[in-house]
Amino acid sequence: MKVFYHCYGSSHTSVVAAAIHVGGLAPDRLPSLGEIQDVPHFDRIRAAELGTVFVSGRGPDGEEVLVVGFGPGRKIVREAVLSLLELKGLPPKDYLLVDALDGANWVVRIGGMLSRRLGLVSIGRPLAALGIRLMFRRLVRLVEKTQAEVRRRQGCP
Amino acid sequence: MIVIYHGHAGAVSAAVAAAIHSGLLPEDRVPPAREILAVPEVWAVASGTPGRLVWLGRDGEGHDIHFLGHRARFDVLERAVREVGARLGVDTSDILYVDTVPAVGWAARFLGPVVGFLGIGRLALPALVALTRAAYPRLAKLVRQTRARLGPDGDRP
Repeated sequence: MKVFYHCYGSSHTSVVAAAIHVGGLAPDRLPSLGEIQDVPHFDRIRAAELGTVFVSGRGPDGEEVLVVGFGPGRKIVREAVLSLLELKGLPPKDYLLVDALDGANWVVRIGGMLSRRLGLVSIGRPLAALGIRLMFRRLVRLVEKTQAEVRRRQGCP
Repeated sequence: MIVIYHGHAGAVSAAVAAAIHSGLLPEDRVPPAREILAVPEVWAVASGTPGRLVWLGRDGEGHDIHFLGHRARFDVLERAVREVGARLGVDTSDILYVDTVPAVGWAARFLGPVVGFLGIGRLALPALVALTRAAYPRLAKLVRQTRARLGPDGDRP
């Protein structure tokens, strides 16, 4: 099974959620700003790479965890991806698309925009990391819910 | 092959092009508005989910004809479908995307996205159909070009 965390640019909320999922960040401790900025791909994906899938690792039940940015129309892109997979007859138990941007705060959004869109990395990146820190518990809950869904679909006890 | 005519969510050009290709609407004349509105899938533009594929039928050569309305950056949508599909072992090389936006006039190009954004598709449908009728010969030409691309000497992917 493969789990795709998606957000706007696969740079912030999705990569951190994926890092929690694969054990790169501990779910029971608030990470420092430095630890967040050290997460692979954090605030590093370019606009030209929107739609590209990156691998994060493996989850506790052997599922592959990946991240992807769906850009400005993420809900529409998600719908298109889901309907294409459905058309191709892929069983839903093989994949999970998880929206990691839902509920993201404005600090992450503004930090991401400053860094990724305006190139103001020195201001934007720490600000985005701060925003992630502020919503870390929410991301942990999202990952826990996702892992439970993975287990359910895989028929694990 | 899977043929997907796409255009702005809220615009009916993609639905009409797909209907011409699948034989639900004529290719050699501009039908009256009531004939266009008699195609149930055209109403899906007004009430459907942006990004969701709508199947119109199969053409004489056995190609499946769909349309898709979007408000996303199409390059991102196409890449995301290809990338996620590839990670799941789904071959998407049999999909031919056909952009219907260049075939419609400036008024439909402007109105389609506005209608999609405001979610007033059912209300604006008669106006959109009138604008699409003006572009009908160009949409029929686009369908002929698409058929040629799908033929033995075509440049289909």
